[in-house]
Amino acid sequence: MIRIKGRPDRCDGDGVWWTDDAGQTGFVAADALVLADRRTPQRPAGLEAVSAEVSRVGDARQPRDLTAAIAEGREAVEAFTRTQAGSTTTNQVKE
Amino acid sequence: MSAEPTTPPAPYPALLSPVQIGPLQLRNRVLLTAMTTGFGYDQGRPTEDLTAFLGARASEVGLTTVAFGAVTPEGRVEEQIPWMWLDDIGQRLAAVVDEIHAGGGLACLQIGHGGRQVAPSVAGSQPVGPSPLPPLVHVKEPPRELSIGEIELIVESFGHAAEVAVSAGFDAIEVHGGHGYLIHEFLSGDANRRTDRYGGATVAQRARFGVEVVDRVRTATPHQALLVRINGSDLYPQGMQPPDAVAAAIAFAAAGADAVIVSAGVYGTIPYTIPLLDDDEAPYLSAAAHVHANLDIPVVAVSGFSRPAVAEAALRRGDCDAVAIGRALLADPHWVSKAAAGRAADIRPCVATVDACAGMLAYGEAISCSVNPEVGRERRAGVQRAERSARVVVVGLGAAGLEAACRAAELGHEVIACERADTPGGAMALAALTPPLRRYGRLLAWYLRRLEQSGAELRLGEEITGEGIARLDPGLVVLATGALTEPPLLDGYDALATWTIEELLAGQPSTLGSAPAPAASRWPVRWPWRSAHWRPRCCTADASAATPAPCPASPMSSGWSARA
Repeated sequence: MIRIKGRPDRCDGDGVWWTDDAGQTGFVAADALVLADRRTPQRPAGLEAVSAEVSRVGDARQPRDLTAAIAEGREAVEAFTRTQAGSTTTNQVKE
Repeated sequence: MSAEPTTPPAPYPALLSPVQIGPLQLRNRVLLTAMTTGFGYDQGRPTEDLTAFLGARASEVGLTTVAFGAVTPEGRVEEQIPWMWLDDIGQRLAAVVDEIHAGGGLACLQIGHGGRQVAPSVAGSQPVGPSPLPPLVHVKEPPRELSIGEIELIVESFGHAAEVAVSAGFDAIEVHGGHGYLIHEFLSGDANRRTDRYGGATVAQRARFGVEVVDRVRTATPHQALLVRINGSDLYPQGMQPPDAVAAAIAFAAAGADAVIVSAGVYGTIPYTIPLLDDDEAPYLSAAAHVHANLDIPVVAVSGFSRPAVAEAALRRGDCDAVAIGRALLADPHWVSKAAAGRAADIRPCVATVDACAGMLAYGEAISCSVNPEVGRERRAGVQRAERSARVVVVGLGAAGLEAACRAAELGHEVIACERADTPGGAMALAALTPPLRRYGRLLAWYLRRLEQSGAELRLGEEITGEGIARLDPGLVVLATGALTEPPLLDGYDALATWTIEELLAGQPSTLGSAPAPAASRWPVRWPWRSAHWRPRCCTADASAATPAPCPASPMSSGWSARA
């Protein structure tokens, strides 16, 4: 396995040109390129039309892992339910 | 002629049958294994957090174990464990025992000494060991070699800890003789180079310290069950191998042990010691079976059990007499009762990421569970079912959205769960397609079953906008819409087959260039990093292999060669 810390600059039919963190450019021969970095939260359009309480959870808040996703999904509805019940122990998860 | 009505067979008859361990009859063959928690103690004294954590699991299993009561200050492997030398520790542990008993369970205290694997930052002193040889990892400082007099004092400390445990009401004691801790270090020729009566060329000779401990603890616990944890394999070539484990087990049985628990690994082999999500279930079962075949006291297999069917099969094959389970009981405290009710599919599955449990201990933090956020919060007042049902709209059904939708419905809300794809799962479903993360598929199946039972309204294949959400007039909107790879703008995507990770896993054509949908056969089924977790053949319990096979290169190899 070849590991490069840096960013891809361009690709051609033979592989990918890179610039590493030290500013050095290089070329890695490749048959295919898979991009798995820079994951960006997805949000529906027109959210300003929603007047209800909105909780963003999991990767939609910030891309992280399974642990955070499940914990936040659960906490969002539990916090809302506690609030409804008038509990003072609410620990709401919101942005 | 009509058929006679038949009663369906009881599920898991072996797993759920009683087992006798010394004077103790366990109601089933599931033990809650010792797990340090990173929480639940105040200066070595258990708090109500620990009591609640164990109490939540004790009412169903056959035996509940409190982890690692350190017998001396320099034997502390972590801060958050019982300090057995404290004057009031018995009284404080009694509250834990009472909680376990209140649920109809039986309580066991594991006692041990961390030896050379104790970090000086925890113990405040130089580690000690049988010989001045540092462990593979974790502690660089070589241990101070124990004198004969010190060894005798430690033996007595084990006895004192056992007496305290008896006074606290424990039904069983587990002596920790594995995982690279002090008793194990004496057993291991890689850690014990002594030439006095505690050393020797054979495991039987090097077992003397452990035998003296077991004998002393046996004297202190005439009416309790006495279990000893050993390693079936150390999982590295110079460490203990399966035949060594048999020799150790026989020695401890002769000294009075009622059962042995067969585990594996030392700190230096952590990537193997704790089975991960890409490992098979119960990978060290063969080591337990090897000991079982050569021992006439009960053998408990531990490590990596997740599903009742796997445990049942192990028991039926005669590989072991009971199983000790940890992480699966973090994920679902009702593992046993669901199995007994024929509802194994309802058991929240452990996916063995260790991100939230054992992984947290490496940072000195409290454990929880990736799939069960309630772990460690057992004392927190549970959320009551909503007095006024609200309409909850969940947008996106990956892990976060599925948990939110299920939980909201269970709390009495009217749930509308929307997913723009034709099937739920999001990134979790994509991850489950990859060999290393295939266990995510079990979690997804569990969520889909839970969602179906919850009564939530499911809307698949619909892209919903803010306006659409508003028209549903929700009281709460949970946005769980996930994230997508944002590709950098590069020249040449057309020239090279290029996909985002989401496109690749979903088998979709590239949106970046002209690459067609990737063929499944082109997917990387042999993951490069898998080699880092590959379990060497020398670590398996092949009884016919008198000489361990040479261990292949691995991340641990540099540590090994440094010691070779």
